[in-house]
Amino acid sequence: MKVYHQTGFREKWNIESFLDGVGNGLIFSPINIDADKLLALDIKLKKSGFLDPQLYLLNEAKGTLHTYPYFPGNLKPDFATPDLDNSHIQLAQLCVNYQIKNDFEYLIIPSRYYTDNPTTYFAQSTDYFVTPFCDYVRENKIQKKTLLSVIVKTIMLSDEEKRNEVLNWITGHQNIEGVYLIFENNFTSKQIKDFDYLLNAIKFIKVLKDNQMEVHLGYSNTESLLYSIAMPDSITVGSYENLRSFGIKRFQDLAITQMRPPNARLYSTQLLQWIDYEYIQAMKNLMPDYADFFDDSEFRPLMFTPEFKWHFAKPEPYKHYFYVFDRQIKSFPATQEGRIEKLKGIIKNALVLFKKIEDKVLLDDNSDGSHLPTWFNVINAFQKEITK
Amino acid sequence: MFSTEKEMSVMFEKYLKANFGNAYCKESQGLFGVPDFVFYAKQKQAVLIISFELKLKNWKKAAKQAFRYKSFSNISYVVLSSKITNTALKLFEKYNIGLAKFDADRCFEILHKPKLGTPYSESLNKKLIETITSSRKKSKNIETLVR
Repeated sequence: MKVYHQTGFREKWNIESFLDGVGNGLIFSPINIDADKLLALDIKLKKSGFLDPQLYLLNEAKGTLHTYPYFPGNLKPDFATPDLDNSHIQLAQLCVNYQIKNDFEYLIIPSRYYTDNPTTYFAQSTDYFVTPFCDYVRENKIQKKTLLSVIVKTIMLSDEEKRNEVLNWITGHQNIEGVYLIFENNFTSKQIKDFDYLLNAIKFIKVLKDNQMEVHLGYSNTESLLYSIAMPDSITVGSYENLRSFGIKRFQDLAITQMRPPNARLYSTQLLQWIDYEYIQAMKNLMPDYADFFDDSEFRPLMFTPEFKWHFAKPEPYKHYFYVFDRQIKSFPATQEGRIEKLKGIIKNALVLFKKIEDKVLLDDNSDGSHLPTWFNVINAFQKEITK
Repeated sequence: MFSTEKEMSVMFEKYLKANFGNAYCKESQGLFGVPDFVFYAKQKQAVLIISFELKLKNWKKAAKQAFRYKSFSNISYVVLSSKITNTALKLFEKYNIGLAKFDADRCFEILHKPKLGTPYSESLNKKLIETITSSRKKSKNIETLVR
């Protein structure tokens, strides 16, 4: 299973980490990197990665998205959905050409985002994106693998009819090797603790894999460890929270509002959780062996010095996460059975460790292990299904 | 009984002022959580910080919030409007979090008096103290809140 860097703001951290041998490639974010700057990047950074075209909101000129030749506003300033009738072929060509010029590993078919998908969503997506894209690739004898980007809304997981509709749509296309799959995340907690959501997401991935499709999971956080038991081809690591959880807000060109910055957190592979730095301070005061709960990396010595000023915008905690999470993923067995047993073992151990911590430190719901019993139950339920 | 936490907060503030002095800040931002009141007492070179979290219900959530305040406080209290069970009280004892009851009759009863502690985060404690260094407000009867 590969690990891609989901890049965004401060993609420099991901690039540096990738050049240090962490992760298998980079997923580029047009709202954060100018099109010409991306073209000028060293080919070695692109040949094992791909572009997230980010036409989710079609003509929303967020960040540097307007610098991309396929940005609809460059074809017509007030470009709207009806304009796709006449421009979809041109748009697909521009999008493919730009991706080819960069020589990415995969070609990605864009996808649109709606708060509530219209009834014609799949038919429109086929007509406006999938068909012109695949036609152009075929006509030009382009040899690269093509992935279809798909945003899976919560309702598509919980409602069987909707789930079947989207699965039928994805698997019904020829000339597509796989999906760049994004689970929309509307949860308010930092970890996903919804049993049905998680189990349905795993089952969703499994159906795609059973259909011989490559599955690349975008915008994933710690739960990708859980998703790994459905044997996807890749998962992602991202720095800021909005790169580890998909929300459309990131792509909306909203007026900048004053927001409270998040607290710095440190990921622990043993705890399967991001622990708020202030709790690490409490652990340091109350538990002599506090450092044992956290992984080793080249960044750890600096982070654990008293002089280190913890801040959510510092690179070290993220680069540490990229490194330790990549290693954790790579340590997973290649077989599904092996992966399930390994993950169950890690969860059991994490629950013991949390008990030890909570003997001294009262953690809140976003730093504790309250997601782990649900995860364990999800694995058991999935295991039951596959051994039926 | 208080009908809202705001009502409880208004009455508690009056009680604080009358019994412990006016050396306090309301809803201090930029720390680890937002305590309803941060009380301070200047003692020679040091400044003693006592945080209060007021709650009408959900004592467990209040305890978690109060534990966070121990990052920058020497003492952290949860103030509830009604009594809780012994099991719940044990949690406050375990984590050395203060627990008090304050009702609509302005009756303040300490159910668990915590030991004085050192804030877990030197930098957060320093940040808070910097905001109150120049304050001339006076505190009194602090010893009644500390074991």
